[in-house]
Order: sequence, then C-alpha cells, then structure tokens
Amino acid sequence: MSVGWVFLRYRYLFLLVLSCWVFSVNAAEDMTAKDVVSTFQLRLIDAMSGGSALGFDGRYSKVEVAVRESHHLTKIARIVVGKQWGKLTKAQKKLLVDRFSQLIFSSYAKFFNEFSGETFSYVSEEETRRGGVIVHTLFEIPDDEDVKFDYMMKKKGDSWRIINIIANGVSDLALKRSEYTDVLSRKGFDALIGLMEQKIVLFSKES
Amino acid sequence: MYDLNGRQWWVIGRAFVVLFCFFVVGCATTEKKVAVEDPYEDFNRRVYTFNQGIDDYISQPIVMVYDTVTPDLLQQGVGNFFTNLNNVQVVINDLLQGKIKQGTKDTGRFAINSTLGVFGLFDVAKHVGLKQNTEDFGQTLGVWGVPAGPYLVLPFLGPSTLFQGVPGATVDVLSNPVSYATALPLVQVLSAVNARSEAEESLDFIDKSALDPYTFTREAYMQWRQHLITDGQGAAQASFDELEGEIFSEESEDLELDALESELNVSVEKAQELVFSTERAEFADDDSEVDRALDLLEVELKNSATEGLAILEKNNQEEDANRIDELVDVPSPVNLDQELLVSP
Repeated sequence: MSVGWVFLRYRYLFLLVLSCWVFSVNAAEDMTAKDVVSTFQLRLIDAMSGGSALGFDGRYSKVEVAVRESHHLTKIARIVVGKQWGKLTKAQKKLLVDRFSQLIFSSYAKFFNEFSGETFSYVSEEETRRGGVIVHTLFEIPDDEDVKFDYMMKKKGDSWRIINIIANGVSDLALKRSEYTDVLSRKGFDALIGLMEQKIVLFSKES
Repeated sequence: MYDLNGRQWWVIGRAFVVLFCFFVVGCATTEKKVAVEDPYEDFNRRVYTFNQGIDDYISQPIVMVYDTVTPDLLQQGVGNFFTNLNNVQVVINDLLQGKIKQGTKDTGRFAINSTLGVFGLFDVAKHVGLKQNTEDFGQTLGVWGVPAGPYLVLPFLGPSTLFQGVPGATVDVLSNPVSYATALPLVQVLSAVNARSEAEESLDFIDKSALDPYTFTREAYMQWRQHLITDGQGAAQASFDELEGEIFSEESEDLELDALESELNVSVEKAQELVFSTERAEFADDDSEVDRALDLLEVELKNSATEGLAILEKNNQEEDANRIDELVDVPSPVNLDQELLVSP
C-alpha cells in the first residue's frame, strides 16, 4: 500500500484537514490577547488531566505545542540573560534559546502532572503605555486559595504572545533574569547551559 | 527556620508549583521598583549554605519523623492552631496599617476559630467566607514608607531585610502568644516543626527547579514581600514598566530574534519531517526505507549534538587560552623584536 494510494483514497479527508489547519492559522492571527491566554490555559489543563496516564513524554508533547503557540520564547530567552545577550555568539544564542525552550516544556511537563479539578477564570485586562496588554486571571483550586495569574502580552507580527507570567505578585521573567544573569556572570555560559541540561534530564527522570 | 512562616512559604511555593516554575523591589506608595540591594551577598551566601546544612542534617530528619508519625488530620489541626494564634499579630498589624474593615473581619475569624473551632484546631471561619490574611510588622513598616534596605540571610532564620525584616520579626515574636508559652517548651518546638513541615513542598521545589537556589530564594522573597506590602495592587503594571525597555526593544533586535527563531524552527521542522518519513515508511511496510529514514534522523540528531558540543568545546578552549594568557605574560612579536634590538 503506497503513500500515493493512501492520499488518493483519503484525499478529501486530507483536504478537509488542510483547510481546517489553514483556517486555524488565520484564526490564530486574529486571536485577542485574552484568547491566546485562555487557549494556553485550556491546553495546560488538558495536559494536567492526562496526568500519569500520559506520562512525562505525553505531557511534554502537549505543553510544547501549547507553549510554542502562546509564548514568545526567543524574546523571553533574550531578556533573561540581560545585557550579556550582546556578548554571545550566534551559535551560543541558538543553543541558549533551544535549551531554554526545552527547560520550559520540561518544567511544565514535570510540575503540571496531575489534575484535581483546577480551573482558570478570566478576571480583566488592561493596556500598558507602549501597547502591551496585561490579562488578569485566577487559578482556582478546589478547597484551596485561588492563585492570581497575570499574563504580560506583546504583539509579535499579527498575534499576541506571552512575555511574562506573574503568579501572586512574583514575576517569572524577573526571577529568571536574576538567576540567569547571576549564573552567567559568576560561572559563565557553559555552566549555565550545563545547569539547564541537568534540570531537563532531572525533570524527565523523576516524572 | 525561616523568617517567613510555613504558611507564607506554602503560598509562595504553591504559586510557583502551579506556575512551574518566577528584579526588584519598590516602594509601596509609588509602586516604582528599584533594584534589589544585596551588598552582603558573599556573607549571605555563606549563611545560606550554613542554613542549608542545618536544614539537611537537623530540620529535615525531624520533619520526616513528624510527618511519618503524625496523621494528616492531626497535622492539619496543629497547623490551624498556630495559624489561629498568629491572627493576634494579624489583627494588630491590620489596625497599625489602618485596615479597620479587614481588622474587624480578622478579629471575627480569630473569635470563631478559637471558640467554635475548638481553640483554633478547626478552621470554621473559612466556611463563613472569612479568609486568612497575612499581615506582619515588616509589612506595616513597608506601608509606613520604611524602605526594605539590604537583603540579609540570618543564621537559622533565613531570608530577611535590614530595615523591614529584622525589626519586623522582633515585633512579631513579641506579639505572638506562642512566644510567651515559656512554661510549655513543647508548644514552641511544635510550632517550629509545623512551620518547617508546611514549607517542605516549597523548599523541595526550589531545590529541584532553581538554577541558583540562593538567587531564586532572594528574588522570590523580595517580590513576595513587595506583593504583601502593596496587597498586590499594581504589581503587574509595575513589573511591565520595569521590563518595558527590554520587552519593547529596538526593531533591529526584534529582527535578529525573528531570524534566530526561523533558523531554529527550520531545525525542528527538519527533524519532524524525518520522523514523519520514518512513520510513512513504517506505514508502507518498507524496512529498507525505515532504516534509511532512521539513519538520516540519527545523522541530523548527531549534527545537532555536535554543533552544541563544538560550541562548548570552543568556549572551553577560549577560557583556557585566557587563563594561560593571564598566567604567562608572553611578549608579543613586536616586543620581542624591540628586546632583540636593545639586547647587545
């Protein structure tokens, strides 16, 4: 059974899937900042719902798609190393962005590994002075205190992307920037990459 | 063994655990943030390591035994008991900060849990909509406009600040009923063990996820304290303002990032395409095609790994060369020529 035969046999299905994909790409470009956040949150809950049945790899695949389509990973990786970005070679920048992205996916897959009825709810949004948007949401945990999640959004081309997440007043971007710039200045680029790789391996082994 | 009580650590940890993962501190009144002051970093790091040692070899084993022998329900009761006693301090600071309405509610919370909740063992108040608030004298100082001052790590007590944390903790100890239970040392020991036990999840999270646990703890502590002082008002906007210059950078930088992203996406797409071709060959039941596709994928992955290793190797060589240059003052060829000319 050749690939060509499969295509001929199911060509209408392929065309349908393709048109849906094209539509979804166009739709993604028209998504508001709020839509981008809620889609990301829904996908996160979906990965959590899979829990141990999905396993680390299964959750990783789901959150990778969710994060890639909602976060501006290159920009975040650039901000967390601060002024030292300018001192890195192009190959180092590529390596940093790659490992940083993997670490984000691994972290989500590791820590969002179970579901106990949690939900996200939209609260409000506000515009910033230079055209950014902050989307305020609540993470509701049954029989527990809510956690405030604020998403800092920036336009990237035609779509909105998450630049920072602030959980109960603690800024992820600011915290990471302090950590990464500290490690870079104290131990250097190799050590930073080494530490990131250690964490990636650790997260995948423990889950 | 931390200036933050177990509940505060728990809330911080919970926020991070659900976030996975999380610059600066500001003045409560202006919401304008300033850089974290850590002039005693070397000393702080030494104390941090000392505290870690105490925690690893003394606190953690004790907590492990406590968690093993104490049923969950009893642990929850013990936690509720100390949280309820802490409400005396919460109400005092509500009033000192002028939060009269909140102070009334917190007084009601304390009264309900002390009576209907059997000396605070059961948190009845939460079922009538009275949530637990976190207030301490360090926050009150912040609300009054006293700056945090330099960051400090105190032996046995952990993260603090010179102008808010140290005086705040002193007044908090004096306003906590547990401090006066000198005739009942067991109560004080239980209070410390309970606080450490409640912080377990968060401390474990920091250990596992932080690239640099000291910096992570410092930043999380300073941001969290600021959040408490401002009651979370304007935190997101202030954070955006602080990072604005970097978020909305020069157009040339955005172009550079887009180009970098495109190159990385090409690598990802190439790997994905190779995976798809493997799957297609498997679907076609063509073993030779499967082998060929797997070989290509292996080569691609090796190339990717080699590229990464080459960068690391190059950096190591550059670092070694720099170290040698520093150790051996090698005369440049020009200097050598001059030396030869001068020599008889």
